[in-house]
Amino acid sequence: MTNIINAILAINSNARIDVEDNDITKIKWLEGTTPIAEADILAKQTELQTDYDNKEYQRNRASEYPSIADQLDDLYHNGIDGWKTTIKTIKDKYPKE
Amino acid sequence: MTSILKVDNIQKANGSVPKASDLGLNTTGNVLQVVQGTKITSHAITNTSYSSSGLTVNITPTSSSSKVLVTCNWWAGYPSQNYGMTLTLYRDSTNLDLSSPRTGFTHIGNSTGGFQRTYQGLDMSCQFLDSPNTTSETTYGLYYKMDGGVGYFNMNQNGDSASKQTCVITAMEIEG
Repeated sequence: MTNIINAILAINSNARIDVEDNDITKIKWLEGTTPIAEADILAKQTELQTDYDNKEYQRNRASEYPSIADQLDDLYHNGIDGWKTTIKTIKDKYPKE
Repeated sequence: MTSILKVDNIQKANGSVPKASDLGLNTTGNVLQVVQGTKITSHAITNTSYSSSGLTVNITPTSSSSKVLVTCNWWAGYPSQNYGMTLTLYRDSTNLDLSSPRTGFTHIGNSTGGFQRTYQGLDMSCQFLDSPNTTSETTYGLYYKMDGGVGYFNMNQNGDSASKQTCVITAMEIEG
């Protein structure tokens, strides 16, 4: 879940804030930071969460790709086509939607 | 020559119960009172000047010569990478830290943590023996600030509710 503070920083990267319990009603705007409307924060939070959710396939692929050392070993023993087969198996398992 | 004094009751002239110090005994170092404050909420912060964490305790010293021992325990998640959070104790509006130039009693940083630190944190603590020189109610509190990035007090970066704990600040009045 995208935190409130990440949504605020996506709108204003210089914001100085204190967010209690990830609660949009408990934000302290500090050091002269101009408050951002709750609706704008929530909209940005939804946008970031959607982006995060849409990239689940990337995270799944990344966690299953062999290490660089193992991929180099794959290339050495099986050539480029063999390496491609290994990688494609994982890409197909987690397709880009 | 040994003398033994046996009495059933000792009272002051006004009938009240005497303290040890009223009887001429050396009571320096005695604990006169202990008070505690707790906090269970979490905070994600970006402020670069000290701001109260909300973990505070109030104590009213019985004598201006008393000392106050303040101890504080809390949990903090690792900050966003390459940044750090510094924490200090305040007495009312006065920062009790004496150091320079860093300032602060404790610091938690994240330079090489990587992905796993999203879910990790540290139990942290500090203590200070103060001489407030007052008999007025005094507030001790834990304050924090960042040197950039995002800091996490009583929560991890991921914001897991299970990462919250009970943070405690205790003030003990010590007879001076």
